[in-house]
Amino acid sequence: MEENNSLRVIVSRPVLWLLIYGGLILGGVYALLHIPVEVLPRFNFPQIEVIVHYPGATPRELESVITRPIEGQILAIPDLQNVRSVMGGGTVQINARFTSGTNVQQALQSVNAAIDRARGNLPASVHPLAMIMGNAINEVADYTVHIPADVAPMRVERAIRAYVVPALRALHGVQRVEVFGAGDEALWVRPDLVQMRRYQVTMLDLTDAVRKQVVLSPAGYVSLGHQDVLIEARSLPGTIAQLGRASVPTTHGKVPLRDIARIVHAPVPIRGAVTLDGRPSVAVVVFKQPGASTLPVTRAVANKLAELHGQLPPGAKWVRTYNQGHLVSLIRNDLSRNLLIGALLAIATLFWILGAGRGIWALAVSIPLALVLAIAGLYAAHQSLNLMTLGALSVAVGLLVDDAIIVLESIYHRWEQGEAHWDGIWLGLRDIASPDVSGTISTISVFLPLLFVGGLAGLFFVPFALAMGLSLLASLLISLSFIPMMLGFLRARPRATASHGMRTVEWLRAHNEKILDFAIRRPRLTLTLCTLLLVVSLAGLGLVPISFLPLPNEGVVLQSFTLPPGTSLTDTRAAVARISAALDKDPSVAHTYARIGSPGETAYTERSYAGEIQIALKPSVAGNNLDSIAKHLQQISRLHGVELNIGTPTLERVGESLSGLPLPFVVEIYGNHIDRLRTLSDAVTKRLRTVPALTGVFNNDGYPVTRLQIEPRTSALAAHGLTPADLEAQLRPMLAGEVLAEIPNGAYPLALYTRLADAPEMNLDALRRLPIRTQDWTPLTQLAELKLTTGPNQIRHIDGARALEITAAPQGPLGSTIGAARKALSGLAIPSGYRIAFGGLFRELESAALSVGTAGIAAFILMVGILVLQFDGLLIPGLLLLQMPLAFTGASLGLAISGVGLNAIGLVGFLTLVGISLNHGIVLMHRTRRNEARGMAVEEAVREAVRVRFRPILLTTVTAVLGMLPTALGWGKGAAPEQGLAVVILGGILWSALLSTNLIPALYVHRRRIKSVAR
Amino acid sequence: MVLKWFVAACVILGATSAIASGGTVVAQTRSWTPSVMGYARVAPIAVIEVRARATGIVQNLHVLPGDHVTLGAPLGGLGGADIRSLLAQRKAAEDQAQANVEAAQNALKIGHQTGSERLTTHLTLIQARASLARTEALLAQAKAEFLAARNAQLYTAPVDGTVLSVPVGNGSSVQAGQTLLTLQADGKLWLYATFYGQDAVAVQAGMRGEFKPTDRHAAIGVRVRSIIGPVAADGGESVAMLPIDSQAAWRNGEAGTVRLRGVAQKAVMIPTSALILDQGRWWVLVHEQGKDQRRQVTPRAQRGDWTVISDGVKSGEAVVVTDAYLRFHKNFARQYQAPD
Repeated sequence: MEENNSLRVIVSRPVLWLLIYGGLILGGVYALLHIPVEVLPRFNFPQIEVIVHYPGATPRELESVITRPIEGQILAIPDLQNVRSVMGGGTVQINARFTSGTNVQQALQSVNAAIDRARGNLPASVHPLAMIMGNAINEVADYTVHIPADVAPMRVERAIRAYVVPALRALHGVQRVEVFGAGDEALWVRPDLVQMRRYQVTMLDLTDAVRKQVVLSPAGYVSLGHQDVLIEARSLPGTIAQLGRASVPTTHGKVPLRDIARIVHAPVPIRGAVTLDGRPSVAVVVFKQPGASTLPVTRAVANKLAELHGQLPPGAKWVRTYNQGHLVSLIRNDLSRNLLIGALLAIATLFWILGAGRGIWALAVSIPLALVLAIAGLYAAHQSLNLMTLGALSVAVGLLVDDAIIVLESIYHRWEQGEAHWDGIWLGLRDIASPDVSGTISTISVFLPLLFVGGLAGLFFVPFALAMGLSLLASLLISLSFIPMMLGFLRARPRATASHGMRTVEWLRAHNEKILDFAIRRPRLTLTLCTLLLVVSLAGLGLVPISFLPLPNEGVVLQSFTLPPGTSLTDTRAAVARISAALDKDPSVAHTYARIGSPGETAYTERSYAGEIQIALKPSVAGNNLDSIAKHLQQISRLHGVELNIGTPTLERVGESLSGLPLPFVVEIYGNHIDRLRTLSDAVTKRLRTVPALTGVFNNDGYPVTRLQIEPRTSALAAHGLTPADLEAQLRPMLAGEVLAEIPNGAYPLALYTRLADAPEMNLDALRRLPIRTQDWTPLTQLAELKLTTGPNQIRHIDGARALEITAAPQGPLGSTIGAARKALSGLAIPSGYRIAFGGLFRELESAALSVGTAGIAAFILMVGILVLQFDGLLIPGLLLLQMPLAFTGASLGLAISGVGLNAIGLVGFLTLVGISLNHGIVLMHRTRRNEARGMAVEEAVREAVRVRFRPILLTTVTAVLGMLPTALGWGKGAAPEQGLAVVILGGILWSALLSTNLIPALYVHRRRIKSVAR
Repeated sequence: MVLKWFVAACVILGATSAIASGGTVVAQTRSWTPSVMGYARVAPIAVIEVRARATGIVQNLHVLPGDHVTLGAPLGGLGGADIRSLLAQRKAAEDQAQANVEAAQNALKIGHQTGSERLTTHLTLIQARASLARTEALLAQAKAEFLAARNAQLYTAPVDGTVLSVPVGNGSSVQAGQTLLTLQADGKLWLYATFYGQDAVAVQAGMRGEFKPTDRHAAIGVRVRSIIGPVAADGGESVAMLPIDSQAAWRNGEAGTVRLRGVAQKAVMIPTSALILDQGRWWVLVHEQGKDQRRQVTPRAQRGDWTVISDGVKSGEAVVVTDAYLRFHKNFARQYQAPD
């Protein structure tokens, strides 16, 4: 009684509980209002990606001019695990992975500092971009511009850069804004080679003359009339006429620039393109800050663009081609709605069964209260509401009331036995606290291994596990504190008369007793039948479609394309134009937005023969299933020689976020000389293709592309008094082009650019005839040899060493696969200084699997330990653990019957089922043991426990099922990814409820009889 | 009318015969004229320099660059103490020579007179005649020298032409042999180009072609007049050309490009768009027996939309044109996986 008094004192202090729960609720509401909502969890993987664009450079040039200077600085950073670089197609990608546990922001700062140190050795025109791996998922909004035929795209791009981009960058939550498509506006000086020769003007004379035209510098000051008047030296030829008047020195005196070059107002040529519905366009891409809420950012961007519409040239208008806010909104709205419906259904059921008493209101409030506390916990753990955490919460909603029901039932039972109000509360709580806690802890312990899954999988599973764990802990806390408190203060009492729902429960209990009778009479047969059904259901899983992470229909389909490496931009544009035209004809397509290549200063990495087509679907295209739409669109856009992959933009961003990681299995070839590396890689590829355990052997790095090498003839140059650098200095501005100067021109500068107008269209004969200024003029072919050679389309570095990678998919155990590969390569002559190694992520994956396995075993041991402590022996724990695999029957049958696919989230559902399935059994067997302790015979103890626990088990099962029913039925496109998870848990819970109230008690009775006979 | 329709039908049939099915075009043997192309500039055949014949001071030089002068037109003269001194010298020499002649004449007269009085011998008469001849020769020489000295004073145009440059002015002191002005003779301009390597080997005297000046639309027909050897140190060979139409006018300093055509020959030609560059080699897809076969080729020269092939494809074979590149690489996904 002393204990009762102590508890009563604590429990019956309303102010205390008001303060405690008031604080918790306020905290929860604050968290609810401030927690970011985004698509996927924040990537905090300690890997920094550096992207540098240097269009037109070959892999060797990129290696020498960009990669080595930057790598040299990065390799000195502490806590670095490895550095992998890929260079080719005018782009360098350097991925610096740091040791696990490194603070990613500090790692980013270290890399940026390394880039600053290297900047002096980099070409002036490059702008390295460093970002945390996974930033691609923060691309939240893509807009293009419908440009009228009479408006130059470069004008549009200029207007956007000058007026729109600064406004977007100032918005809260915006990280980056990229604009590309037309090229920088420029005055393009196109040399006339004949005139230059006529006037004896070299390219150096011309470029020098242009550069010297641009002057804007302070030239001191004078004091006039009591004022210090600044002197501005200024020459800014911003028009064709002004620039044309520039004097160029010749042997015949000074000649105006317009006489030796044609000057046009044109964009600086770029190695890419952007089209909207087949017409040239300009794209604006907005990235949000990592961890920022998506919807406020996308809304603010949309509003700002609408506000700034007048800044576009007349007739131009924005077209939104991607809006991640739509997806986030879908997921949030649909999952929240399903959550609400599920909660209402669960509450309605409680009212129906238990009656509309005050206690039931306490139960009803416990669901949102548990959710709010769970969200508060997520917010404190720096998590956001995303697909994983919202998915976990939508599943957990049906389970949140589990503990509360058990406690309420226990207290009601005490009251029904005649206990006084607060005594009944204490005794009821005491009766159920232990199994309640052990049941919840057992469930939570199932998710413990997920918290230890590091690396990539951890990015997805940890938030899910946290959300589940926190919500279950919240429900436990509420069941042990809030429910008893509310029942006490509200003076709740059980309903005196049986409700209709109660009569239904009784009817079900009567029928369950018949099943229990059969099971007790034929326990082995029952077990055999259950096992057979499990086997059949698992076989049925083979019919279930499997995918990684299907996302809801976000109204956009993304098709990435690749042509053979080295394909000309012209051919790529033509192919894309054909694909876009075919897509535009389809009645389901609203717009097609195509991006070819990766413009400078963007985070894209596609080469100029690859890119993406974003297909915006018409709003009338309905349905959760994107697959059929995607398949159809891929079919109609098929072209020879073009590799197409179709998906959704968000999934594509996930892929881009992971692009810096190696593939699971690669063969690395290290060596010094690129040509020999390539030859060796070809030989290795040929041999690896004979290994049956390896499929999809690709030698991407070695795929040859053609190069035109201009090799100076040293003696010829010397005869003319030239060096190779002199020759290059004349060739580069002619063929590659050069921005000579930039003229301040309003908010955005105007470039002065030079290049031969038709440089890319020149054939080899024309190149050979290019005049080079010597003492006179000499054609290039006299000074250098032009030859077509082949080289790899990209070069790779691993920790600074040159390497090529061959990718493959192992079909068997890795150990034997590597053995077979080694055998295949054993006879290969490897030159001195070259070596072959087996790499890839497989070791990390193995290690991750090992740590998950270890954590799983630890969790299992913990679970067993809890059960053993609870039940003081091995029989009941053994029976309860037997229930775990058997519960999969319901899950597998649910998937097979519903036809819903299985994905990564659904797999987690199986794991969740392991924990949930124990709860009912624990509660029931606890009662059974208590009955036996009071002297009941085994069978009588079991039957009584089933009688008493049937209602709470039924209640928790029904509320859990109803709670996730909307999601299981696939209501709302946003709930689609969670549908598999909901079906798994729904089916599993139903089946484990049946097992708990029949098979497990029957087996217990059977084992106890055998034991007593043996004694 | 019927003939016109017949010709049109032949053209259409000819064109369609070149177009095979499945986006292919038949390789054709066509007449092809190899050509070479280079930078060319109109320049004078020769620039005539009018030089000072003696040391003196330039006087009365009244022509300017760009002036047109006719043969014999006075251009200017030389004066100064040196010239005067020279003239005086030459005059004195002439006078002296004249006096000598007169003296020789007198001597001969006397010889004739005394010969009649039997006071001289026949030899004396001969000597007198010889002395006269000698002095007369000296007189002629003195006169010529005096005339030359007088000519050094005055310069006239040696040919019809245009003054290009006048490096000296009135009052300039010039040495003998120094250039007073340069003239470009009328009608003596030619087109001058330098060719290298195989192009130089291909150029022959008599080859014809077109010169396209940068400042004009119309091209001018030209003919190779001569190949100016030897080959320069940089391997270039200079070629001089004249207009085919003698009435065609071009101006000194005009520049542009010249294309010279060789002898027409038959060669297999395919559309340029059928050519595919892969791994440093040129290929086409030949469509035969319903399949596309890869064939390595050696392209030579491009003519418009067609390219001459020296080997790899025979006339009459159908080469893929439509989507040639994409069809060539249709299986590239077996060797290359798009990076993800």
